[in-house]
Amino acid sequence: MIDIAGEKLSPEDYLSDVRPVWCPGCGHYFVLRALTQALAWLRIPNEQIGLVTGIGCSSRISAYVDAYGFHGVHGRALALGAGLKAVRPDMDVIVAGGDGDGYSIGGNHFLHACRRNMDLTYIVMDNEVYGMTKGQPSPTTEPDWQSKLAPEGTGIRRFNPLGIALASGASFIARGSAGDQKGLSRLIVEAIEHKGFSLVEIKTPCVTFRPEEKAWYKRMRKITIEPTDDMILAAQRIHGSDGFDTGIFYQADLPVFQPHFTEEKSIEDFEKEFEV
Amino acid sequence: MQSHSIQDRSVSVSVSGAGGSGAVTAGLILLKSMANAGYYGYMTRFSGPQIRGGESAVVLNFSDSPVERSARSSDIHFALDWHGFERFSDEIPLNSQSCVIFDNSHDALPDSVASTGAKIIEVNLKDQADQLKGSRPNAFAVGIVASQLGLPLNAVLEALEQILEKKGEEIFRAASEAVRTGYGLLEKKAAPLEQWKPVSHTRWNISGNEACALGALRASVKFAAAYPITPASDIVEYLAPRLEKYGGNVMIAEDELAAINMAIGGSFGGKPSMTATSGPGFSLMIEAMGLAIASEVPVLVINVMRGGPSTGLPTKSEQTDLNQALFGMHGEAPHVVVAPLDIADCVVTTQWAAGLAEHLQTLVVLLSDQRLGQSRAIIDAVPSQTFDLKRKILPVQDGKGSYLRYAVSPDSISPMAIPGNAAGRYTADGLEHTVSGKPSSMASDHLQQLKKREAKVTQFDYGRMWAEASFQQESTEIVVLTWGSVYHNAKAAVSELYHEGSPIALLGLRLLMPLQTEAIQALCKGKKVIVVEQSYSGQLYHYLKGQGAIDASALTLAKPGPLVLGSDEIKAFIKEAAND
Ligand SMILES: Cc1ncc(C[n+]2csc(CCOP(=O)(O)OP(=O)(O)O)c2C)c(N)n1
Ligand SMILES: [Mg+2]
Repeated sequence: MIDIAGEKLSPEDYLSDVRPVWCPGCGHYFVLRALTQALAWLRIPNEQIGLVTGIGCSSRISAYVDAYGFHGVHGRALALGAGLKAVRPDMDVIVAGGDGDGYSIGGNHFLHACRRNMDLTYIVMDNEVYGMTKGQPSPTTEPDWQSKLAPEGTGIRRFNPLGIALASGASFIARGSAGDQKGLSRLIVEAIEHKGFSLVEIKTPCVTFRPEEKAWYKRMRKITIEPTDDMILAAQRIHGSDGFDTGIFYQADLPVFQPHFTEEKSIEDFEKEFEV
Repeated sequence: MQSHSIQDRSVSVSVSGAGGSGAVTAGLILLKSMANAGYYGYMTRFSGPQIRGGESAVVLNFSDSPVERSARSSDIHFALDWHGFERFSDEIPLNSQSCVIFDNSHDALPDSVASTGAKIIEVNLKDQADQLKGSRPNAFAVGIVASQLGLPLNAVLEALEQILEKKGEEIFRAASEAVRTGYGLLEKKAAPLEQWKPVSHTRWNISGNEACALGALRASVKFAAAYPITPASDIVEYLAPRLEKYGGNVMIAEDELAAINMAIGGSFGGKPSMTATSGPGFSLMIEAMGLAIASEVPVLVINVMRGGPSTGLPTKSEQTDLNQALFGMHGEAPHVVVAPLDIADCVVTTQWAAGLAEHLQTLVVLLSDQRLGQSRAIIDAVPSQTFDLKRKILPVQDGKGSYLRYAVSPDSISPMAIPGNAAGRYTADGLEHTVSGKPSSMASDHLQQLKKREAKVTQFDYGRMWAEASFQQESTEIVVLTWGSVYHNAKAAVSELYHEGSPIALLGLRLLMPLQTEAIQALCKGKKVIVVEQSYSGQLYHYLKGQGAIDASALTLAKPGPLVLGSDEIKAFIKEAAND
């Protein structure tokens, strides 16, 4: 997995010269660190990485990594990433974003990305809030969290990303914590190496709009879950978890969608079909 | 039946019936038969709003010279039944010159048809079909119509074989027997084909949608992503099995939001990419179209327009997405909008459009419409041509350089780095950015990038492709300006007037954005200008006026879909306008 023979690479080798816009103490910094650490361990050439993001604080990450990045529109990163991977199977395509970007506005693409099971790594920086727009409830926010937009709480059940990914056909499903740097880097390495669609759902506190989330650093348990390819067992673990377990909940060898490009016809062949 | 002069050697046929009656297949066989016999033809199809299961009809126009418009009325109409026929009364005009043949084993002749004064011939195809195992009424109908056209039986049987090839020996045998029987049922007519001169050179049997797809292949488009929608699905359905064997791929997207973003992703990855859709899908794509413009990623979006707003007229044509294609994006989003003028032009204009997207590294919208896209014609083979339009690519180099993705250059087009090139690492961004791609909301960066994106599309020399001008003379006093599928009827009207001595010219616009204002002014200044288009509000007219391309005195003949603006109607309007 790690090329120890070669020159040792560090996370800095994968950082761009753009300074993050994130608030001091934002959990997203740890995700950036874990991601660049994972890339350094894997020694993937920078130019072979495609990092595609949507819109949100988290989605800004594509500018901070020294790679081929795409900072697109809100909610569509998985589609853009799928298009990139479709034509460039040689690249390691990583899609990243927030809980709003991926589970709300981009929810449909999430389902179909799981189903398609392309060889993509999807990193969701879940802070259970819309950070960029200043603190509105997201699909993963608990029903009684009070905010300007929902003074009494939304009263709506939370979205269960892992459970939905499992039901939709994702072949690698993991949860990590921004507070466990090493564990998170390892999960990202596993996700990138996995052949198929890998979801890495990361609990990352929004210190500005949800300061109480800082408690996650203590509550999140370090890698407690071992991978299984048994869907029933995985479902039990996912639905039985209090949300603070980390690890790979499901990993299976499922058919991967990847178009192949062959060139056996000429334009004249197609024109001939029209001839009368 | 009408008498046919040497100048107007054409004959029109229509076929209608309930969904599943095979009216469309009958039309396809007749079109191919005519092609086999050495002639040209044009076929439009109509269906009720439900696309499948409802009534459908085809209208065909044949000639011994290229023809790309329907006739004023049907010389021969064959009704396989009268199911929902009243819904086609506008599209299939009948008169005392028409000959109506119908299968009387279903409903009786409607009063509305009897009252046209058309000659009526009844046949009982159910009896015929019962006697011939495995046969269907539409095959008898093909034989009957062929006999009334004086079309050689061989040409029909050959067409039948080509079309039914994949359906197996048995089906073909029953159908050819039915065609033969049909051919002998009525007294055979020698006219009208008697005077016609068949040709023997290579011709194509192609629809507008297929022509667009072929144009994309010629432009080396290698990736398409789409979500099905009438009337655009044929484009990607044509491409799917072919691109796969041509170094490319079609991806089935979960919706149009995904389709356009996938295409942008594919293009970012280095492959010329496209998507195809119609009104509702086009609306969903708008946000990402702005992304392609801002991030300077080439992408071709084909919109085969149908009537709107909302679900509107899903199966019928209208030219009403013009405003949206021009101005739908939020912010200031310079891009290119083109429209083909006929089926052959769908090949050429799509190839051009895809090339423009690549060369200018931006969004190009191609506006076709249902009439253009779903009509099928026998046309002369479209010669291949080359546009020197390629993506400017950053040369591959080792090691990180100081690449400026959005650098300002004399032509405002900066070389694009393709992933995999170590020297070109950058992040494409829909956020406003600096020359390096770094997000920036500074006024100076915004202004610089706005200018760059505008300059590259406005300063480009589009050459002669921007429009088709015809009948232009020193003495021209009237200019008819039009676009898209209205072009051929407008051309027929202008041609007739021109040959009657009127100082009139025609301008068919292919490039709608950036508008070639000065070129239009040069042709229109001081002339009586008439804008002809298929919209209710006169979108093209107001656009041209707003841009100062035409004067305030210009007139408009604007009519919403789905009815075709006929050449007679256009001619009458021009005549009246000319006399004012
Ligand atoms: C189409 C569209 N709708 C709304 C917005 C406004 N918007 C920007 S980011 C965002 C939410 C981001 O939340 P999340 O994805 O969880 O990212 P975070 O900022 O929390 O990291 C919203 C609603 C937008 N940019 N585009
Ligand atoms: Mg969030």
